[in-house]
Amino acid sequence: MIGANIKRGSAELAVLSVLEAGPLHGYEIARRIERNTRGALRFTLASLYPLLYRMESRGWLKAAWSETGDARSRRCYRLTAAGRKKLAPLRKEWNELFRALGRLAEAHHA
Amino acid sequence: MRDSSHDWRHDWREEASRKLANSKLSAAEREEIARELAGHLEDLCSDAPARGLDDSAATQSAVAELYEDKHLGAKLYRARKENSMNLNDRVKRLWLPGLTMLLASAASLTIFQIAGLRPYFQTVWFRGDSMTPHSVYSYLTIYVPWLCVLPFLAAAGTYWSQRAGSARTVRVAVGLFPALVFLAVFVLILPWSFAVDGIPEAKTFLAEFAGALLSWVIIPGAALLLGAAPFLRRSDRQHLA
Repeated sequence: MIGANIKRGSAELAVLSVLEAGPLHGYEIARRIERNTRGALRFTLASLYPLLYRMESRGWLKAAWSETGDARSRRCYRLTAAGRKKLAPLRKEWNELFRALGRLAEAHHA
Repeated sequence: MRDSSHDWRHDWREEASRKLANSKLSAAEREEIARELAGHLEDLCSDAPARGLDDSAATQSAVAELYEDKHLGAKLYRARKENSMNLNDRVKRLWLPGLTMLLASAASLTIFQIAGLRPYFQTVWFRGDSMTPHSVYSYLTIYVPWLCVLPFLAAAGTYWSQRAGSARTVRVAVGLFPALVFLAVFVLILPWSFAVDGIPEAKTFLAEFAGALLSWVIIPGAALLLGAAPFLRRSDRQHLA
């Protein structure tokens, strides 16, 4: 069973990664993650917004109401300097974890 | 949960608000979150054809998403409460920039005084009238060069705090930090002064207190606010095409 911290860490990495390219609102974040992971990661409203608010509280994200192209108002999130700073070590940790798991899996098959 | 056969396409905000009604969120927070969740649900419904869903199925899917977690309000509340800063954040966002500003403002005033700067005194108000013929005077103590330095200190302090990820209220506190400290000192000194010197005549006390307040809190506070202002905007509005 995947621990809560690992789940949360992967979710944070997913959000930070998609926001690296530019600001997005909540629904776009969820869609972008789903699309980029080919459906492997899917956020629902209940899993996404508590995470976004927590990351905003920590100062990793900053949100602002914006008008979208169709004149709708959406709360858009963008990475802060602190969020960008967090992304690199988080990426490194996850790459290391996946490499370690890969090695473990290979050893198991050998 | 309401009957999902009803057309809610224009009702998401109210529905989201109802969903959050029993949470501990304040009315303003609930309103903002409901607005945001409503936008999410609207987009979910708008995307329905691309996912091969008709209107009714899209509405049902959106309702299911809204009501998926019965503790949603509590989770959102807890996530928002992380806003109340932990100790490290409080130090980085408030105390460090605030105390540095206080030290810098005190140091600059001391340097100006050592360099021979004299304050400009301005006599103020409380002339006598027919009922109280004696006059009470007070003075504004104005160090003009020091007041000119304060906006720059406030700008540096609030910028520092902003970079540390502070909320606007914290940045306001940082920007006004030296003036707030002066105010706190005055408030703390008053009972001591009453105990030592006795309670003064009300008019004399008011005149002196008002003079001190203007000289060390309100006028410096205005100068500080001037420098902090560019960093106090809630956020930049961004247009998404």
